[in-house]
Amino acid sequence: MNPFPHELALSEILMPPLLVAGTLAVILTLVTARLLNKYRMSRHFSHPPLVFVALTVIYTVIIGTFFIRI
Amino acid sequence: MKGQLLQAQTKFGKLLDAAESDTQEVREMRRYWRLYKQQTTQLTAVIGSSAQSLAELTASNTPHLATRLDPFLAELDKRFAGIGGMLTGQAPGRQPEDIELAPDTAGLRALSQFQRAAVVVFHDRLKQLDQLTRTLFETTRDASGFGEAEAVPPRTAFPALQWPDPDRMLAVTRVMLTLWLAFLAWIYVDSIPGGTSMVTMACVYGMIMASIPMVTLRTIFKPLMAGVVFGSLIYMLVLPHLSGFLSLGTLLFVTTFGLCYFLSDPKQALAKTFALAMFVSIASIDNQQVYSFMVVATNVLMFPVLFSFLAVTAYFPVNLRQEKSFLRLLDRYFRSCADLLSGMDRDKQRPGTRFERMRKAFHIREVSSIPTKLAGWAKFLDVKVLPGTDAKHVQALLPRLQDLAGRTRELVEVRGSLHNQYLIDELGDEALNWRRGLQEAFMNLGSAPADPQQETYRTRLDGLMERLEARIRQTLDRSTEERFSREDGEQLYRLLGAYRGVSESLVGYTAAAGAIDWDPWHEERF
Repeated sequence: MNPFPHELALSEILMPPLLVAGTLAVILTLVTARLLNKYRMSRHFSHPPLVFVALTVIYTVIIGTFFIRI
Repeated sequence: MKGQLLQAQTKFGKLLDAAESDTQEVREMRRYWRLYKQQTTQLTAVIGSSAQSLAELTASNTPHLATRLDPFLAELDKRFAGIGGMLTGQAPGRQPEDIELAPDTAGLRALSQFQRAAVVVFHDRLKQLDQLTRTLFETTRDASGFGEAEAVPPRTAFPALQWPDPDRMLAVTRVMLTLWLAFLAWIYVDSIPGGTSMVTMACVYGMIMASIPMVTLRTIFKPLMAGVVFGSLIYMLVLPHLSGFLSLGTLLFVTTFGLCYFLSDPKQALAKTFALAMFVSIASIDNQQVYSFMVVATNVLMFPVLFSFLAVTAYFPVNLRQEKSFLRLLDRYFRSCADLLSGMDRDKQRPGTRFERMRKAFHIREVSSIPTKLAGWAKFLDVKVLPGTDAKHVQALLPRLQDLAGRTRELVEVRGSLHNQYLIDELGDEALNWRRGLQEAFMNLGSAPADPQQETYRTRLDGLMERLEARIRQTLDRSTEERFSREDGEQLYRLLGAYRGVSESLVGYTAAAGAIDWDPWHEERF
């Protein structure tokens, strides 16, 4: 994998890496949120929407650091 | 059934809003249709309180003394039949007739003070029924075109200044926040998908979500993306092969007819709207038609960005989860009830300031409108995440709240019309204790919708009512006619009946709320 940040090409469509990393991060956060809701662990958070945003940022950084260079 | 009636009234309001914009006949007569809606809501409240009054008379073995009750009820049936006929396009065959409703005075004298109060209140409600059904008949006649009403009669005065509705302000804030997020993203994020179209769409979808806040984003995501895929397939696979008006016109007709025919079920209205909108937006039919996959890709990538803005506004500034919104509306409802009661001890000799009048009007509007809003939210409650909650129990709460609202408004109105200072002074501490007890109960219910000690409400309120009735009985028995007139005496009976009505409604509400486990409602979830 190219270790340098670069645009991702899907056929002739060029996409910024942050967009892809962000989209994947949102999907992962949605899955995490559903699991937390299902096992009633979300009741321990005082403000779940802020936790959602925080998880999205964390996943974006992880994906951007290890999988899609941003 | 009362819950279904409340939901039907909510649905009627939304249908009227839609009909005013797309049906010319309704638009011309919109003032009368608005009056019709207002009068049916009032009539529902009066029918409920009349039924409760009759039930209270029966429970206390008090005769209703309405000598012509059966002919009166028959006349009401005929009026309702006439109203129903006019709504289906049939001309009214008869006009409402007058029915005498005076109670049997000899029987009234034989009753105790409390029983007289209950009978007087019941007869008042029958008179209200008579007046309301007559007015509703005339309004329906005018709105349906069988009367001689003018189309949109001119306003004679400017509407009074009033406090804005908090829910409308929240909707406006939500739309503005969505628009600002879209603008800032367009300005600061380079090459954001959609560009200025994304800002336009953000405003449109922000307004759609603000008008139906109880619908979640998940509900609209699938029909919207299905519409995008449908429009994209037409754009990529069909349009490039067309030339000339005949082929294009055929495509437009077949697509529009097919979507409207196959998605004609009211439950599929959202899917139909999005499919039509995306077809028009993505096809972008123009005189000089250019086909590029970038159009499809841009539209597909634009919507996740749009939905992220809408997701932010679903939680900021206020969490719009259904159960949280339900609890917030309940809190506002009980705080408004408490505020209306606190304004009752104001000195009637001193005219209220403009601020006080606006505040009272605001709280009356709140208690009148919140049960209808709760009916809208209750339909979308996800009971799967609320263990211990049954949708039927939630529906059973709504008519109780509407009844309590009607009784509270009636109490404030009756207390406001009692001007005899001697009677007001004689009621003294008992009325004050009762009112404070109710205010405390309302404030507690705002934060905890069901009191685990609901039996204490019944016991406390019964005790307060007994002392109040005894006080009123003493006052009326020892007072001479120079102190107060017959009308003042009847007002006092109405006041006693109104106090009792609010107490009974509150006890009825706490019994219904006790069937729901409210702890999961307060839990935080994504």
